Order: sequence, then C-alpha cells, then structure tokens
Amino acid sequence: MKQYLVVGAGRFGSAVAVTLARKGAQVMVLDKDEQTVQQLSEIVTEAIQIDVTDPGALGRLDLGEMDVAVVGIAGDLEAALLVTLQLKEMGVKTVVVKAKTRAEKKILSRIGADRIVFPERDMGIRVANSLVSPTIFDYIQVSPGFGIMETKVPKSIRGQTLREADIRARFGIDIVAIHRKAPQLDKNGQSELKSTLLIAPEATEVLGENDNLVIIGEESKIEKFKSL
Amino acid sequence: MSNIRFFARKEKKLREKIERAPQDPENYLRLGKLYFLNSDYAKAAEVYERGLKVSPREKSLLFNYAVTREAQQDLEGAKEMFLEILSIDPNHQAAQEHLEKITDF
Repeated sequence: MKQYLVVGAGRFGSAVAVTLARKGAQVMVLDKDEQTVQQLSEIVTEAIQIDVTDPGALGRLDLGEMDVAVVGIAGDLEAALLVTLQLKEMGVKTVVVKAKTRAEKKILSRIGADRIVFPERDMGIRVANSLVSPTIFDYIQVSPGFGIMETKVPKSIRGQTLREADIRARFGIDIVAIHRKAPQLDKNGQSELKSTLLIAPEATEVLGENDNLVIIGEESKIEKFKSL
Repeated sequence: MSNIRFFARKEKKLREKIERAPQDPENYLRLGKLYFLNSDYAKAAEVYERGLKVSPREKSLLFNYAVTREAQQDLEGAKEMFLEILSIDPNHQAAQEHLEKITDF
C-alpha cells in the first residue's frame, strides 16, 4: 500500500489528507498547529505537530520510505522550497507541491518538485471545462458513494469489444463513453494524439490501449474496476 | 488489403533508406511516424531510439518519440523527453504545451 505524507494541513493539505485516508491510504500529516494535528489524528494514520521551517525537524523523522509527499504550504515559498529539497534528499519518490504563481512553479521545478499544482486555478479550469465541454472528467460525485470517472482501460480487457468485456455484468458499473486518442500528424507534420469522445458506444466497439473509459457506478465498484 | 500492401511497401522502402543512409535522422523520423500513425507505438519507439543514437539532440526525433511515449501511457518517460527538448530549445511551444498537459492536475 502506498504511503503518503502531507506537509501543511491548511484547507488544501487537510482536504488531500482526509480524502486519501478515506480511500484507505496510509497518510502521515505534519503541521505546526496543535489543534489541527489533534483533529486530523482521528482520521489519518499519523499526525505530528512539527515546525517544518526548522531545518532539523524533518531530518529527525524517517520519511525516505514515503511514496508521495504533498507540500501544501503555499504562501511561504521559503518553507516550501526547504521542505521540497529535504524530502527529495531523503528519497521521497514523488513530491507534489502547491504553488500560487508561475514564478513559484519555475523555482519549485528547478529544485526537483515532481508535480506542481495550483488548486484554485485548476479547480477553476475544471469547472469551466465541465461547463463548456463534457469531455474532461476526473471524478464527479453524483450522490454520496456514487459517481462518474474517467479511467484507463484495464489491461485485462484491452483488445476486447464492449460486448466481450461484459463490464456491467462483471463489475456492476456502466460505460458512459469512450475517450479515444487517435494518432495523427499536425499541420507541421509532427505526431499528435487527437481526442474524440464516443458517447454511448456500440457493443462492437473495441477497447484500445489509448482509450479511456468514462464510467458511472458505485465508488467501491469503480475502484475495483480500476485496480484490474 | 491494398492498405496493408501500401504500408508494407512504405515500411520496406524506409528501412532500406535507413540502411543506405544510417546517419540521416529524417528516415528514422519518417518510419517512426509511419508506425505511430498505424498505432504501432512499440515499433515507432524502437525506430526513434535508433535515430536518437545517431542524432541525440535532434528535436523532431525527440518530440515525436515523446508523443509516442505519451501514447504508450508512459507519462514519466514522455515528461523527461519534453524537458530534454526544452533544455535544447526553451521556446519549443509544442513541447511546453504537452509538458503542461501531462504534469498539471
């Protein structure tokens, strides 16, 4: 099971930590606020009160085994830089850092952050996309425990038709659409992948390795299908 | 049927060109694109790799290989290659766009 570390439990960090914990992941949270740590300790695997801006503090924890660290301390660039550097030096495989500006993104990339996110901007883009074009999905909750998600075609059913894969009977979920990326050349003669969305696909449609499926169903069944 | 023959003829022709001029990155590029367009990403990747041994800093080879890796869902590999293109040409707009697309949430 993957181990996650969340550094800084503000609104963003807390949301990440709680969502991961609710999905059954092992999550460690570090934050300097005692009350926040106490509240989160009820939900996540471990919550530790610590001042991460103290250079020695992180070093005293054994964090090298963490698979993913999420640094949610935007607003204090110096602290975010310091923490990111330390985590990479410790051997954390993937460090995701929250940033506010493009300049911060550039600096964080340079020092080795694997992924930089702009939560506010990204949420705005996602909302806008869902308003103007229903072709981009991550996860949309329809009702508690029930949602729509886009996911890769699991290896075990690649090359099969929808009829052969028999997804509804076998997994209890429905295919809403196939998001297909077709190879082509752009106007400059360079390789490009063109996205098309096949809504309510025919049963004869073959599932390719470049296809994503837009599925609807219970969260637990979606998770099971994704892990095939 | 005729499409298959056409593909085979073109493939053979480009392979012969590569044999005749193994130092010319253009032929690797054309053969790689032929495989890419026929969704044979593994073969396209193989050809681009051979081409990059000859011309390691050839931007077109790097870019088309990176998109092929994206098609293979090897996003980490694709990301590394787009970064490499940008280290050669920081103004490579297509590489920038692809990189942003695969690294942003």
